[in-house]
Amino acid sequence: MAIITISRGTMSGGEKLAHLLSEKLGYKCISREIIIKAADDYGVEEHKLFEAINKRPTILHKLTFEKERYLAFIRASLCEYAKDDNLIYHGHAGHFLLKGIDHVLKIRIIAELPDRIKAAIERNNLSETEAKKYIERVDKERAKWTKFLYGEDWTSPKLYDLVINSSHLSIENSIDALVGLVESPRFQTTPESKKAMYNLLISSRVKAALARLPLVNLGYLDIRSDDGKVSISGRSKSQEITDSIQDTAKSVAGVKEIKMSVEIDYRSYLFIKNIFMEFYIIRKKYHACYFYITRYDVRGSGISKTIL
Amino acid sequence: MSGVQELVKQFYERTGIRCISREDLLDVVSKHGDLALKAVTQLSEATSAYNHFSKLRRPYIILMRQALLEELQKDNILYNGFSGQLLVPRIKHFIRVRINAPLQLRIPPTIERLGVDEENARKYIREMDEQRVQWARYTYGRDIRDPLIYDLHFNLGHISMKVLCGIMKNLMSEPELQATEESKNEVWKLLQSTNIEAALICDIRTRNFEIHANFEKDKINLVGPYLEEKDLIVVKEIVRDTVQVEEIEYTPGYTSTIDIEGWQQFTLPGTII
Repeated sequence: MAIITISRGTMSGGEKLAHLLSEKLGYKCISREIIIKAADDYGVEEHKLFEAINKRPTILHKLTFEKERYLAFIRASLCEYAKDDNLIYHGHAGHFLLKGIDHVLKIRIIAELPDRIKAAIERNNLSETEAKKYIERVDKERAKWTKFLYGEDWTSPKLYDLVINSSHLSIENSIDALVGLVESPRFQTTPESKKAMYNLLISSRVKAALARLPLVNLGYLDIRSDDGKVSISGRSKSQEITDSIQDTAKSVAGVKEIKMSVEIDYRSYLFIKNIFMEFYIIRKKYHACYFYITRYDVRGSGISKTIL
Repeated sequence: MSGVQELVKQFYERTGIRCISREDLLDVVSKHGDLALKAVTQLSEATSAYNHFSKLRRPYIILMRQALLEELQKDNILYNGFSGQLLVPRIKHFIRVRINAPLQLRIPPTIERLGVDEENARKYIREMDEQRVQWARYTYGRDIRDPLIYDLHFNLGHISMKVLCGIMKNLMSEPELQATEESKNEVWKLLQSTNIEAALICDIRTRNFEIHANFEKDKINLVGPYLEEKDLIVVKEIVRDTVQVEEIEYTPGYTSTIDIEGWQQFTLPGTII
């Protein structure tokens, strides 16, 4: 009785591992299903949700907290699956989306670049150069995505319970060892971990419901749940918005009680601060570009290529 | 302070497999005389900029590698300490494991062992970690935190020693990870090449020549600096004294001691990480 999240680098064999484990343990195996469910449940376009867990946010997304909204939908959808236990989720955000749940076994599968290039050539019918570029691009996007949302390097082994290098240790060889790990007492569901999962489910549902409200910025709100008692703290722009937050949260399935401590922030200080921060970053980047342009001018190379 | 010693102890109790550490290798290395002793003792501490230019790095790697390979030849062995996985290439029946433990698990044994307060224990662990990273980067040119240089990476924050031992035991019994004649032969050939390099390093006449050996069937390929006829005779004589071989081929070529990757790739094409 456990939940397994498998994070993988592009073309590292994570999907294969997930399916083999699912066969061996009889667990349900999901990946893209959470996106489809989230799109159905919350009426959002699938591609936007897909981008939310695959691409780094743009400046506009950072200012409007659009990413957080989509992630709230995805987390709520994943929690709906995870509440029933015995689940394998393979996708790179699993360990972040189910953070704080003790019976979640976080696995990462990696492979060396030549093996990944080979897999990309076979699967996507690409040339060697294209495959390499594709892998590097996806890795870069994901790294920036994780850095932005969680301030962590997604390749750091510290984020996972186990990292497997499939270049040397074949997935078939790892299966028996992994089954032993899943069946160990450490990853069994306990009343405490089940409660933590339920609390995460309720807070995710509330977050997803609030994400549908147009004037609510999830980035300013902290939502916690304790056995159906939900506490919402943070800032909102007006009393009407605060009231709508309370009404919406009350209507969420599983919510028994609401405790609100939301302050009204008319000046939207944080919003303005964020804009200034973004301008500061743009200015820094501009300086960096200027440096390269000047350098390349001297050497007589193409400028546009350098900026890109 | 990641619990490796505890793991080694438990692993031995459960499997009876011989466990060796860096100290065991040092005993073997020290038999090679003063230079060997100097190399292994000085290099263990070498993280300063001055030490980075030390000429002892190459002797250290070769002698430690030789000692490790001699042990590995006997099979069914667990080695721990000082990034030993970087001394030998990837061979079919080798499993490289790294154990990570969160700081909160490492602090209590540090406090107990050093008799310091929590703040100082934390500081000590961070400093030691940083030093090890620097040391391995200088010695092997690799970052030991890179998960790609291991086959398995465990986080003791969630996985107990008992479970970890169980996983390792299971893995070691996998048919695909058993030593075969072919993989044993690979280890033997590597040991022969390293024996030659060690013999050349330990001989005062050839100590300063950076010669790399590659043992093939009844043939030794040597690559190193351009040598005069008299030096070449000495080199060949030492090689013949070390291993029984019919043919020795010497090719002048440049090999950098700094470029550890390039050197390893030469001796073991396609097998090193």
